[in-house]
Parts: sequence; C-alpha cells; structure tokens
Amino acid sequence: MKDKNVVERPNDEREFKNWLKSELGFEINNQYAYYYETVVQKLKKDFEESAFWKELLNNLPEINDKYRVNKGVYLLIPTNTPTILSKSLDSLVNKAYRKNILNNDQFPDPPRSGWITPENWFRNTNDIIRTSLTVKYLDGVAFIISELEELSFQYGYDFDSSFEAREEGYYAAHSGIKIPFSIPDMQFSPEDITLNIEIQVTTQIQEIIKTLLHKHYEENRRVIIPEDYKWQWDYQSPEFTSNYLGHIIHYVEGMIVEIRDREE
Amino acid sequence: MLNKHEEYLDILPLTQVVKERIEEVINLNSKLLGVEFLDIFICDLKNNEGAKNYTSLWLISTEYLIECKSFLSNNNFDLVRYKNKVGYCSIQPIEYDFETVSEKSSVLIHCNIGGSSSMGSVSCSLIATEENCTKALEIYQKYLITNIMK
Repeated sequence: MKDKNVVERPNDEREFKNWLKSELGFEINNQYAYYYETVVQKLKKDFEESAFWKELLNNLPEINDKYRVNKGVYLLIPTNTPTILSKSLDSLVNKAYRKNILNNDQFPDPPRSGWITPENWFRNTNDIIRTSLTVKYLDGVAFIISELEELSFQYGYDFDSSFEAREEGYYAAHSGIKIPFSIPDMQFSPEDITLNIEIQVTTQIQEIIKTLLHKHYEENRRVIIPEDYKWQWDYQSPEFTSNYLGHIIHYVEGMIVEIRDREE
Repeated sequence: MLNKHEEYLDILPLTQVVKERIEEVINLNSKLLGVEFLDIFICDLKNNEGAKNYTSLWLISTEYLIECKSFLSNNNFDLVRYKNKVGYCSIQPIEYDFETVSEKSSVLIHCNIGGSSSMGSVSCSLIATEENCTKALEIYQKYLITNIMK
C-alpha cells in the first residue's frame, strides 16, 4: 500500500516530467517544446546580433596581440572562432531534474533556492545561451576573463566569474554576463528578462579532455553516487583515469607557463 | 609619429596594440639616434595555423638600417650604416611577379652590408608574405639597390 500523502521521488527525467505536471502544474509537451525552441532561437539570434558579441569578436585579435606583447607568445588559436550554442530542452529538463530532485536533500520540499520550473528557468539557468573561448596557455584563462570583465563594464552589464577546480579534475573558468532581452511568453506577449550568457574559458588541452570525457560527465550526473564512494581508490573505475588525467593536465599546463616565463 | 607610415600599416593590417608597440619602438630609436625615419618595414611569416607572425621591425633613416628583433615583446636593436655600403643583395620571390600578389606570395631578401661576402660584413634578411611583398620590393629598390658599393 502506498501512502497518498507521500510524494515519490522521480527516478529519471521521464518520471520527473510527470512529477512536474502533477505536483507543480507544468506540462512539458510538444506545444511547450515548440515554444521553448522559438524562444531559444530568438535569444541566440539577438545575442549574435548584439553590439557586445560583435565587439568581442572584433577585439579578439587585439586581445591576442596584447598577450603577445606582454608574454612573447600568442594566446588564441586563429582558426578557432567562438560560436554561440543554446541549451536543448532535454538538457534543461535534465538540469532541472538534478537541481530539483537528485541534488535536493530537502525533497519533497523545494531546494533552498526554490524550484526550477518553466516559469523561471530562463532567468535562473546560467547557460541557456553559452559560448566558449579556448586559449593556449593556462595564465591566458585569467587574462581573457579580465578582458571580458572590462568589456562587460563598458556596456554596463553585470559580470561574474568563477574559476572551477573540481575534485573530479575539471578545470575551467565560467563567466556570466547579464544581458537584457525581450522574449515572448506562452501567450506570445513580449516579456523583458535578464539572461545570463555563459562564457567558458578553458585551455586547448583541457578542451580536448573535456570533449573526450563529456559523455562520462553526463552519465555521472544522471545517477546517484553513494556519499561514501571514493573513486580515488577505485583504480579500475572510469572516474579514476579520467579525473586524474584532468588533474595531471592542469599541473603540466602550470609547469609549461612556469618554464616559459622563467626563460623570458 | 606613425602618420606617415599609416598607409603601409593599414595594408598588413595590424591591431591597435601592435601599432602602439611599433610607435613605442620608433620613439625609442628616434631618441637614441636623434633622427627621423624615412621608412619602416615589418617582416612577416605565416605560421602553421595560417596566422601572420610579425618577427622583425626595420627602421630606415638616410644613414642607418635598424633591425628591431622580436619587436613585439623585446627591445633588441641592431644598427648598421648602409649608405653606399651594400656589398651584395638578392631577392627570391615565390608566386610573386613583382606586380600582383596572392595568398601564396612571399619574398625573401638577403643582403650583406659592408662587404660582398659574409666575411667582414653584416648580413640582413627581410621576409614578407601576401600584400607585404609590395613593400619589401619597394625597400629593395629604394634603399638596397641604390646603395650598392661602387
């Protein structure tokens, strides 16, 4: 017998969608998927055509030469033009599932920051529109972040950044620029929102590792790992190799910069 | 200071950061010699990624040739008096007919100053790609050939 007052914890995204409908009243159906795609494409296009983005692209050669003059080497990869990416609805649902359910130790009560729902996820999700910049040297990550901050300041946009260093061997800087946009609501009336545009800055080698390990990270996010599990001792696990590879690469990249600067 | 070289600098083209660095290097050498430079030339190479790499900056006065090596990040200036002292010079154009340039055009200029062989003379090399070949040819004709030792 099931207690009708006890809310069952959804075990996957499909169950999460049902829970979202029954408990919070939001239905993710084909109509919503069409709406979401329309909004995201508009946001992507508006950002691509924004003065901020155009100026950032125009400034990259200047930033590259500025680093060259300071450090004696080029920072950017000329063939690597940054592109703007948007988050798919499936990926967003997965993120909401993780925040609302998997990582919510207060369930069935909402997480401390509140439920993530279709009503607020354009405002509360950092990476619905995102891009990344890849640099050759580790110290170039902070250099680019500082340039992004300066440009955001010139445009009057709020800016924040964090240098991620995870136990799982993930190293990258994430910056967020808060830019005002107008999107249609579900009734297609205009609504003003401030969207966080995420710009990740990472090194060329970390980018390669990240691409190789992306599937592994995605799979890991979908399962609940026991709290006392220590991947550091499970040398046969995929985590052992991939996580330590991330740490080793970070260390080597630090040494490369150290040797380069010593030889100046 | 850069105004008279603006047309050339815009051909390359260079970022503002590099232009400012060129101006800084010109000012340093002007202070050192107390002369105005008639012309400048920037050596460029294309790297594996297809990007232009600016290696040396040449400053030319009526008397002197100055090579500012790795000028973007270093102050390292070689100076030689070249007036009527060019002993030997050669030019090697690649996919360049001295009139039109393409993406594949490049030119290498080599000269010895102070003698015709490498013994007892200073050797200089200028290299250019694409549109910069036209300027390299101009430098060759205007300052090197006209100063070959009689």
